[in-house]
Amino acid sequence: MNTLLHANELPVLTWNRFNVNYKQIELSNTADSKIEPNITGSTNNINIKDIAVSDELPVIGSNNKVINYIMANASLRKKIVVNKNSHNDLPLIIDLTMHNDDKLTALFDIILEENSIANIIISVSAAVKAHGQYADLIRIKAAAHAKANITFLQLSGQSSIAFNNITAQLDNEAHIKIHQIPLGGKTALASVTANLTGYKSSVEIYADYIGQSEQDIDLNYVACHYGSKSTSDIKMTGILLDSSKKTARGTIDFHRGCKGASGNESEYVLLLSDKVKNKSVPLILCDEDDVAGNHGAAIGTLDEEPLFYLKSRGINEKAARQIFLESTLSRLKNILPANLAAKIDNYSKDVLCNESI
Amino acid sequence: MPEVLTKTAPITEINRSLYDFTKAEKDVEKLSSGLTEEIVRQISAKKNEPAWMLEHRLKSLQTYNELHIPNWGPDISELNIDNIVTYVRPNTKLSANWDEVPEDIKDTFDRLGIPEAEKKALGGVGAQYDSELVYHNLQKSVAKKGVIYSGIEEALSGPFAEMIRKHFMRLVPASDHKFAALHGAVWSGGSFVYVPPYVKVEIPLQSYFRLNSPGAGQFEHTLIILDKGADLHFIEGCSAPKYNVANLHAGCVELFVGENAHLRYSTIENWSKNMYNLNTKRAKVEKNGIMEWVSGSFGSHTSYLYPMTILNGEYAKSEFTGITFAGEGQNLDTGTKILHNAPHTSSVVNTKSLSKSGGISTFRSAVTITENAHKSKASVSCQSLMLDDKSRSDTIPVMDVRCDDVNVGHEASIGRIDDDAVFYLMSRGLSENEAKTLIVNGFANPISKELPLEYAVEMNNLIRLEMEGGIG
Repeated sequence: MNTLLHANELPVLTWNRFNVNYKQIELSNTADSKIEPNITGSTNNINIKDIAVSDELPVIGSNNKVINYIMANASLRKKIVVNKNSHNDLPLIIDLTMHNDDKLTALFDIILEENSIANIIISVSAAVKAHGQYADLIRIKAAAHAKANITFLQLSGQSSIAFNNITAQLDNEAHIKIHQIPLGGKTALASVTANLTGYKSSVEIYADYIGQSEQDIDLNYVACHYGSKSTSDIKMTGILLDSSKKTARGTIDFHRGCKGASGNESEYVLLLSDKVKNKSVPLILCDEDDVAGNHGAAIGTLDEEPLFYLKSRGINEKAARQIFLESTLSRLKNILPANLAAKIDNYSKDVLCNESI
Repeated sequence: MPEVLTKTAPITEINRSLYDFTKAEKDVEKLSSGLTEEIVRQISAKKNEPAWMLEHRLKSLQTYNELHIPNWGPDISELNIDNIVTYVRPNTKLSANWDEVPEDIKDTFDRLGIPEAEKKALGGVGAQYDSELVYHNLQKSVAKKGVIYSGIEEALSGPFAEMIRKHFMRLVPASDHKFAALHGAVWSGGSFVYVPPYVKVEIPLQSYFRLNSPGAGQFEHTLIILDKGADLHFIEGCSAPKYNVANLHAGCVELFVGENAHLRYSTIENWSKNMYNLNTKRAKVEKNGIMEWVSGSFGSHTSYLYPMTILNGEYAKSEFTGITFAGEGQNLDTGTKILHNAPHTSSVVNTKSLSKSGGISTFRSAVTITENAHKSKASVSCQSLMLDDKSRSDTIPVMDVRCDDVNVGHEASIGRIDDDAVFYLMSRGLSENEAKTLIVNGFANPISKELPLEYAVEMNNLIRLEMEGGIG
């Protein structure tokens, strides 16, 4: 039996005919495969344990049906507690490797205690041609003055569905940088809902994707400002190839009382095929006057002028496309440890082979 | 920062005396409230219209009954069609002479400045009072060029009947949404304009719609067809007195812009604050044609208003310039839709929103680039200004791009008046209120400079009245 879900819902609806109000997906309810994470890197001052029931954390702003699905199906449940005042600059890496026809539902609670610093990378990967289903919920609670980089790398098989949900609640002067990299999956969904409840709390949300073949990428980012002088910055950057399609929703939601808050949202999409479909829905919702919200988007193909310049230097259009793809992948590899950067190399070799990188 | 800047006085309600006057309903003919097949047949019978139109009305009624109210946008659950009178006929006939218009109706349009504007700056005027046109006139110099400007019902039985049949509700089908279907069923009044090939109408034409009857709906239909190379500026105005019951406006505007033609359509919407303004406007632009919208939304209780442009021919262009000012009790959901459906088409959208005294202003837009629209460009810019901490302002754009060699840009910003700018102006001798009014006028200036002078003055007055005594 399968569950039909409206995932990645917009906080406010708009015209139905554009099919952007939500993404309908069908997830399997069969039992999960047995997959144990490979946990490496910095574990000093970080406690990791299994949890049977995890209902301690708030789930404000996220779709209840999605949460219910994850809670009902999650076979992998990990609670990661970063100790108070501990500074952990080296990354903690949670690596999940799936095989053909595997199904995994995961729940991660990340507790950043007061004044802690952490760098956590979660990776899920599978063979290029693998079928399967991955769904998760990562709940982050950042106490006052906590700081963290959370990176999620998704390299599921090209015939699979992958759905990564992150919710975060930030206390006074907490800062979280969340980076989602949904490269794999035939259907790839990613979402972040950040509740900036603390004074001067801040979140940076980055999404990087390369849509290829008939891949369907669906993104939903929501920054809810409750705390005064809270800040948010959402940046989505991607390249669409072949017959891929992508929908990106980004919302900055200023609630009454978040005086002095500011939010920025930007999106850059490079379209490299006349069969791609790109939808962008950048919302700013404002219930408070003493705020500053900005959004900018640029969607298009390679500009003729730089292309002309490159051609004048002997670089043809195909080579120019490769330069853009390579620069995106290099940027991603630079922020990942060597073993995960190698996975990006494999992805490049196996999935983007038509682009001759 | 000086203390004075942190204190704000309550903003007063706009002085609407220019628009907010009522006239007794003398000998008017009203159909029963509500929407039934019998009412639709009665409206059709009164107009002695062709059989196809009755058929269209009845099909639209069926569509209305099948469709749901939108699940997005402002709440309109308090609008009950059973309480709306869909047809109110004033006791007069359509005339081309103001002296033949009944005194109370003429006085209404006099107070709104319509006959005076006609003398000074308009090539033709249509004036609708409740459900029927009461005045329609076109200057002889314009008529000599072959321009047709008449009541659309009158034109339905004339030499342009076939042209109207081929265009009526083809851009806005009844199936578009529930209130387009309602319009199709009970439409009444409105204007028809035809500009022949390569004719440039030097001075604007204007239609003014006045709804006087409490609890009534107004459903006028405006159909404008510009043949190839034609050029026209059309102005639309509308107002109503305020009542304690809901009024409804569900008009429809269909604009056909031929090859190399140019149409500018300017509107200052100033309905009373008991009005549900659920209006539909759409333009189709052929090769090298240009469509320009200038839209000011100041009135109504609730608005759903998104003029749409379909760029259907190569190198067709559109420009949308809009301003929305939502005050106390208002929920104005406005914006635009652009469909790029041919190569090398381009569109520019530039809007401003203001909200104060608990008003809600929403900018909603959609830019669609179809698979055909290679080398097209679209640019959307929307800026919102919050004038106090009781109001709300939302920005909800959608971009749907389906081919690669295009350029789509979007920028939006929301904020409040900069304290430093107010402080600077006050240091130059302005009061806080004057400083803020000056800044708001500057914010709106890119829009007002696109309006005809009389309308720009009216818009600046509306802003001044909204701001008066409000922020000092």
